Amino acid sequence: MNSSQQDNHKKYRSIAFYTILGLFLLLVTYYVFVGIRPLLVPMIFGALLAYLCKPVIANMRVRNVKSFAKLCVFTLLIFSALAIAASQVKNAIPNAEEQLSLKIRLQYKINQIYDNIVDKEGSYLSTWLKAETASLRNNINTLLTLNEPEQAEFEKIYLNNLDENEEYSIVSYYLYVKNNYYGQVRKLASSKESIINSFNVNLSEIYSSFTAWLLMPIVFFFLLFDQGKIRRYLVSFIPNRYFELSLNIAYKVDKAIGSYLRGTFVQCSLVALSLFVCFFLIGFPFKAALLISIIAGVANAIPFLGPLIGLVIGLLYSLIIEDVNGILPLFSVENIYWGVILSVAIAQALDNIYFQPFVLGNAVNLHPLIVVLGVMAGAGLMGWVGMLLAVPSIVMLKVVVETLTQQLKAYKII
Amino acid sequence: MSNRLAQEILWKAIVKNAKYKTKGTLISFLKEIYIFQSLSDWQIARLSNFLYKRVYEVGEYIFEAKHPGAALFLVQKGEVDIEISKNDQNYTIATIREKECLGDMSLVDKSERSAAARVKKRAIVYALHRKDLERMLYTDPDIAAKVYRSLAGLIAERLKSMNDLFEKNDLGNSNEFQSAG
Repeated sequence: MNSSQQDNHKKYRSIAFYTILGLFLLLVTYYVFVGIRPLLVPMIFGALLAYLCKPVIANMRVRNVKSFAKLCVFTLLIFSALAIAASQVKNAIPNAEEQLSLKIRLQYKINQIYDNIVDKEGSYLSTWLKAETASLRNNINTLLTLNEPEQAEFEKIYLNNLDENEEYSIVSYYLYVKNNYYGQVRKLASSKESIINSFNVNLSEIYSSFTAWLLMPIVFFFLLFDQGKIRRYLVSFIPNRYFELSLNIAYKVDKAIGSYLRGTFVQCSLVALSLFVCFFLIGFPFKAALLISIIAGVANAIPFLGPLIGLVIGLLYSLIIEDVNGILPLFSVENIYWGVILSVAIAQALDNIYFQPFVLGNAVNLHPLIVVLGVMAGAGLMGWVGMLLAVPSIVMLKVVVETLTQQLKAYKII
Repeated sequence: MSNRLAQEILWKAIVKNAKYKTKGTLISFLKEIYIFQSLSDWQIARLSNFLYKRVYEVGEYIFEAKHPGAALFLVQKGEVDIEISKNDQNYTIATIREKECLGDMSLVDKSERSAAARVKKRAIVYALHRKDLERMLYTDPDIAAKVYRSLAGLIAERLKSMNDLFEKNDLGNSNEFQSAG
């Protein structure tokens, strides 16, 4: 057997070896991912947080203190801050009892507004609107209608200690919506009950996975403590010919994506903060202002749709708000929605004029059409999480492809 | 002095003995490289976290001419030829041996490589990327400053020898070169 034949045999053996190894690893990875699926989200968040905090920890220089001690203190600080914030937010989330009354109040108000605007006899416009929006209204009613155990629970809590003096109390709302809408909904949408149930199941799943979140600080700590070991291990698999090229790509992509993600994080936090201040000034209670501004701030990461989500949640809350005592004596329960619109407008103006150019610059330019399509595709694939992750994913893909082509050309490979 | 001692003690307390020993060979090798000579042991140990180990077989290119330069290569074992090509012919202008480095200019300069580096004898090489050194300006400024100072010294030395060469061959205006040197 001559040497070229030997070389050929070696080549076949190595191809077979790497194929089998690759398939095996793929299979193992798949099963590991399936196994740790409930832990995946906390791990991703831990990794993301570590990535966001990397420059902070790198620039935090204390003489004579090595990274281990520095990192311990930092992790402890950031996660106690997060724990405090989480407990505040958790307090602000309405409990089961409050959720029942919120649902009833919301259903009553929405139907009242709907009746005022749409449900008038005579005009052609209102007939058309009624026909167009009937199914939407029915869907909203289905979503807000209490199921039988919830009704029993509500009646047990509220009907037993009925306060006669409160004319517009929650009980009268309840009796009104029960008499007017519950019957229709039952008849029309008994099959839709499964949807409501699945919604509740999802919520309870989120609460029960709390222990999985303990993984977040661990992932955070080990990723930040790693001093390039993971990166060097991965780079060791790259052939010599592409070594310098791959490092260049890695650093460029890291810089672009890092500045984008950190910029977006800062921008969303600033939007949330300005919304919180505005909501608090117009007279939202502290808890509600906090919760709504955080949701709106997170949603702000979704271009175009994000600000709208903030506005809708704010407006929905303005429907059910009970009393307004803001620092600015401009708004009452009747016209608080103007305050909400004004707050969102101020926050968006600040975002567009100051925050966005300041934090993001023109680092990543995406065509609006791509953004809209991407967000819709993300929503189709993974729901809310998909919508949030759509734009960062597109940005990553764009940066990777652009840098790859540019560097491959610079190294005369293509 | 007490600062450095404290740092060294802390470093040794955190890095396990076994790990330190295996790194010992790498650290003693790095200490002999010109641009790292002013670094202390723990600084070299810290710097070694940013190095990538590569093994090149005979005939392989470490880098090619006209490609963008981004990394410095330190030869631990083996020999590397520096080649330039003229009229489709390769000429070896220098051979880099153990404990020497190549591509040092790419740490300060983003331009293309002026020559190619081809392995003559199977080589074990450690690479330091420009971006890592730039990041160290923020994370470990004391290390980065020393490395940059050594690089500046290296460039000054080369400039002086170039000036000498020019003066010896009586090329150009000598006054101009004196001010530049």
